[in-house]
Amino acid sequence: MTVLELTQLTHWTMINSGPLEAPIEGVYVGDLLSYVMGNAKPQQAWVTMQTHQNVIAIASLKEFSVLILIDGNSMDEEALQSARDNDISILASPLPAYETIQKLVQLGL
Amino acid sequence: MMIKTYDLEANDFTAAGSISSDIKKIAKSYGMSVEMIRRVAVACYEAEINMIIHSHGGQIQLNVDEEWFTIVFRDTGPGIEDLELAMQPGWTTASVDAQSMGFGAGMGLPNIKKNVDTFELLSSPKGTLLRIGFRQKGESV
Ligand SMILES: Nc1ncnc2c1ncn2[C@@H]1O[C@H](COP(=O)(O)OP(=O)(O)O)[C@@H](O)[C@H]1O
Ligand SMILES: [Mg+2]
Repeated sequence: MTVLELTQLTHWTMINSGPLEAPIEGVYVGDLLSYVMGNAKPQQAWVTMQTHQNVIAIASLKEFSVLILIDGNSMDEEALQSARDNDISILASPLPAYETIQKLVQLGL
Repeated sequence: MMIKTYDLEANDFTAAGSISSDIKKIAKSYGMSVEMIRRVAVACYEAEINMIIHSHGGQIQLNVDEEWFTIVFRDTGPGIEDLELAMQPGWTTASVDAQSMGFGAGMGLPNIKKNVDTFELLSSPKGTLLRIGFRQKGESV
């Protein structure tokens, strides 16, 4: 599944668009940044409740295909600017963590 | 032989990761394997963040020669009291604020060690020096 396909299937708001044809190779869920750094894989979708600017640096360094915020969270302007600079796709799920992940599982991720 | 030096300020969360990104780009430009570039990125990020949240700031120096890609992280204190403890997974002195942002899982130094070919950590109250190396040739480590 590509980032574009996920966006169309979920109807979640894309608050920044990076490479839309990027393939999503699985999902990593985590809010502790060193666990994400140490365990997540490139091209995954990263689901997190962290919304600060450093999240973008991690998404870029780890080469995630898309960042998924939960609970209707958004990001402040500095973080969004950094997402634009680094070409990181961000989807904002209105659902809590469990339901967000349930949706991803339903879609076969 | 190539040398590049970066200055790093303590507590500058906004810029955190930018030096690691630059080093990652340089690693790419040297034609490193994808797998090694990823290890460089993880180790550098953790070391950069440690300088930002735990130290008074300092310098990061990248040295590249034909065989080695070496990065030295040198700060001006306050140092690590017990190196053995610091290396233990889960051990942290990060502030509650830093922890609420997801830093301070106590996995940074273990993550670094796991991803490098050489690892050297020295510390005193005057500062901490972390030297990590990646072997560019015969990358089978
Ligand atoms: N550059 C540094 N200066 C001072 N203390 C450090 C430095 N790097 C690491 N430490 C100490 O080592 C501990 C463990 O580091 P680390 O494994 O990266 O976990 P974390 O950063 O999540 O606390 C830190 O909590 C801190 O006490
Ligand atoms: Mg750390």
